[in-house]
Amino acid sequence: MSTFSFIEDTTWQCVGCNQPLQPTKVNVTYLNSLFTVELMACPHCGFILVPESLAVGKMLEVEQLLEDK
Amino acid sequence: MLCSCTHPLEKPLFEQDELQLVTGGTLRPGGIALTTEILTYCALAAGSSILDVGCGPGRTAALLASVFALQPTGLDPSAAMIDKARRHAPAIPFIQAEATALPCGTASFDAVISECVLSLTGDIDTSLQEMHRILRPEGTLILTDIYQKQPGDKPALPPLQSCITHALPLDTIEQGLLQAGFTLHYLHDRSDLLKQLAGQIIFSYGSLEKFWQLFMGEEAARQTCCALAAAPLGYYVLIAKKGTRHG
Repeated sequence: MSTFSFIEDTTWQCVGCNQPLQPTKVNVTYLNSLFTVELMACPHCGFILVPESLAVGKMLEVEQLLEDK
Repeated sequence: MLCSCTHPLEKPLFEQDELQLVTGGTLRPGGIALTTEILTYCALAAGSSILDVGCGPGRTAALLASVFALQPTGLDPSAAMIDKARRHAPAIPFIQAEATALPCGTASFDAVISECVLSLTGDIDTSLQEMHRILRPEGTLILTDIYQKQPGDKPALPPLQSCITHALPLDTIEQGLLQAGFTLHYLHDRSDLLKQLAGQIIFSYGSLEKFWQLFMGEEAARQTCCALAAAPLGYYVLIAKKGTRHG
């Protein structure tokens, strides 16, 4: 089983749907590669919360790997 | 600190549930999508017999039968994998055997497929000769596997039983094919899929180092990451044909 997740208790809500976010498996396309990541998302419209730890942490690590840096 | 597994290094990487989870049960870069892509390209006639050498849990064999209407037989040296394969696809015959000594008749298959396995067989020349022997004249060989991108620069890895530990330069593999009597028809570098798998491991386990720590100690995991960064690996797809002059 996966030992790492971006799922966390959050006060963020989807404004458009007025829904609390729920843990969701999301397909992310990044640098022409497709990844499955567990993120908090709106159960109604699918709007996804990208946490800072993903945007500036793991994405950077994956970017370096994909670009042979 | 060691991970909680009992003697983790005694269990091959391809038998680890952690790897199966990030590869969708297929245990290799590209997964079932790559298999589908190659088989579509090959356009083998419906009803053709095909041996899956290193069939693992039987995902490819099931695909060959259900989507491509082929007659697959699965073969794997691992009793655990054969057991999983039989449960996954009970209508397909599965044999426990080594790639270096195929228990099949000469010229008895129309095609052979072996995905991310050849470098693990211990003796690729003998394995390729065996695949050549059991193929009918003009039979098709489909191979995918890890390779060393910089020949002579083999990564110094802990003794984990995995294709990354035994990766060979592409030249060595091509030479083995020619010596066995095959003609190379198609060779494509798909190292992008190996990187995609590594990226998925980062998203699923936090980092490559944390993934390796599931199977070995912290220091060995760190060394593994350093070794793989210093001696990069690639992934290839190739299609070869059995030449009639050797048939």
